[in-house]
Amino acid sequence: MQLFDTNFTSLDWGIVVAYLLISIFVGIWANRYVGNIAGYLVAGRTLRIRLALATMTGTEIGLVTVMYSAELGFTQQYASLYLALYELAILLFIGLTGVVVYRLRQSKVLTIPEYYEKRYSRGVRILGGVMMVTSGVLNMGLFLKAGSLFLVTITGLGLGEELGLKLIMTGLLLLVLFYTVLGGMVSVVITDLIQFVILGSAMVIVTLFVVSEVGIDGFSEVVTQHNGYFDPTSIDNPSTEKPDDGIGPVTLTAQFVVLVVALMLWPTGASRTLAVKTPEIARKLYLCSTIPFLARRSLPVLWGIGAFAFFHSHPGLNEQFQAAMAAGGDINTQAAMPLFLAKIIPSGLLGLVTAGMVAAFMSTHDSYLLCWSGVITQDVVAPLMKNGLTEKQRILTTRVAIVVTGIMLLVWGLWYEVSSNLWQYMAVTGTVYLAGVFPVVIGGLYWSRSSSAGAYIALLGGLTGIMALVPCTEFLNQQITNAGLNFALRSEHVMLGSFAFSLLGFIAGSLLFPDDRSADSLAATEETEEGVNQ
Amino acid sequence: MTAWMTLWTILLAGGALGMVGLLLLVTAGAIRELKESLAELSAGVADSSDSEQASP
Repeated sequence: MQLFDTNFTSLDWGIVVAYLLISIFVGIWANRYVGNIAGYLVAGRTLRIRLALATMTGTEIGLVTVMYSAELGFTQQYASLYLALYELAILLFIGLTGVVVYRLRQSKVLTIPEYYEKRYSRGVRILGGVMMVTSGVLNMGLFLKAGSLFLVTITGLGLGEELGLKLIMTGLLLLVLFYTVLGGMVSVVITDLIQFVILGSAMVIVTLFVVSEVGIDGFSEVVTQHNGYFDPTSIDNPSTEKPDDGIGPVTLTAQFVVLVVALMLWPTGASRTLAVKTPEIARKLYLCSTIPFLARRSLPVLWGIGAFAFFHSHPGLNEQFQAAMAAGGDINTQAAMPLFLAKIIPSGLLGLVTAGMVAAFMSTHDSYLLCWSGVITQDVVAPLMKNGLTEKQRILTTRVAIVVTGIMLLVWGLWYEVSSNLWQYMAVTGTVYLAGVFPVVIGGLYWSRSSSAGAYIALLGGLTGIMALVPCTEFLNQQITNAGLNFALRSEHVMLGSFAFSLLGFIAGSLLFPDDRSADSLAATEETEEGVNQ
Repeated sequence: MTAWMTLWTILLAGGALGMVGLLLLVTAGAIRELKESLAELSAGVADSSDSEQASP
């Protein structure tokens, strides 16, 4: 058996192409339901609990989620499941208490930056919008590459060809742009529902095949014979030769902070919270989301662990895989899971699974593109225009922003070489937004002394999160070494520092420079009466 | 080791069973709700087609 052998045949291509054609048709068909900006961005706030849950699942189980979770399963085995445990506990807490999300939906805003204006000022809204889009586009920057790597490795298409990955990235992006631009949130909701069914079925099928291939004994041998990593509190990953390259207390703390804020306030999740009919449904949506979120974190990890066991039980393949990674091409640890699936799932089913993963790719991309472009229109461009924008101008601006954002994603995906694992990159880029939004929204909702000055400091403080990217921490460590200090800075230290800086800056700024509440509330009342933003 | 592995096994089994349950319980209701939402949006499109106005 060779490393790039695959069961993918023309039958599988037929299944995938049929699925893509259906998606295009839905994009065109859904356009008839778009009458105004609320219809375009939040489907007119008509979503009820089951539909919201299905579409949220479609959005949140992206191919990038599958890829980074499977990569963690392959590199950190069982220990990486601590992220699933965190998400389960945090979602249960939010779902039972309604903390933050209930009040946020009560505020009747379309986007989080809109809340900034309602609570603070228009300047905070514009800055918040810019910070959100900066973080979001950076965060999304590697989605295309990860999705394309999955397709290339599972189909064998373009493997070893210089342009193969790039052409697939471009083709996938064009497809998503096409139906997101046309239909907005209405087409996103419909396609997310189709994708929920296909993707959910595919995840169950893959899990059955992985368990059948590896066997219960094989999963047990990961720990007993292959030095698998199972205790996340230990900083040493026994499956690698490098010391102290595991998880450990600092990473556990940093990831907990990131996930708490992300699950409450990550814009795409929040946009679904803001699109449901009532605040109570928003709370219930979180409670019900525990199941799909657990599935999205745990099942791909299982596939990654399965790939780890498979490669260890096939030493020849493992050698080929290590050699392919060492060659420095497109193959890295993310490729282990799709290479594994391409060999164990039979033709026909492999097409369904691939269609499910393409569905996962597109459902995340469309929601994210719509979210960021909605923020650009509603929270940056419209507030800057003296005479505002008509409904048609808002929809046109959103569509232009979708295309521009898509082009930026393509350029970033082609150019940036990720030097950490994919999840680490996602957490770091997310911190740029999350560090600022945490004190600004929660302070705004629960602390009467929160002020615009504090909000400015907190939002800008999030920029320090960029220093957690691996090239930046390597630069900082070089400076530390040159200064003769015996300390190694990790990305997680910088991430925690960003959250602390934004929080303390928010508190200090709010106490030192309080807002003039009487003027603010008068202005807010006038704007609400004029029907701003709708 | 036993406690950790028991916890991870519960999480993995919960994820798999949860996904199956979700597919069975949510799909039919979600399709019905989609039809209702589209009906509401259709009515909204008809209502708002003449009411376009500028806003800051």
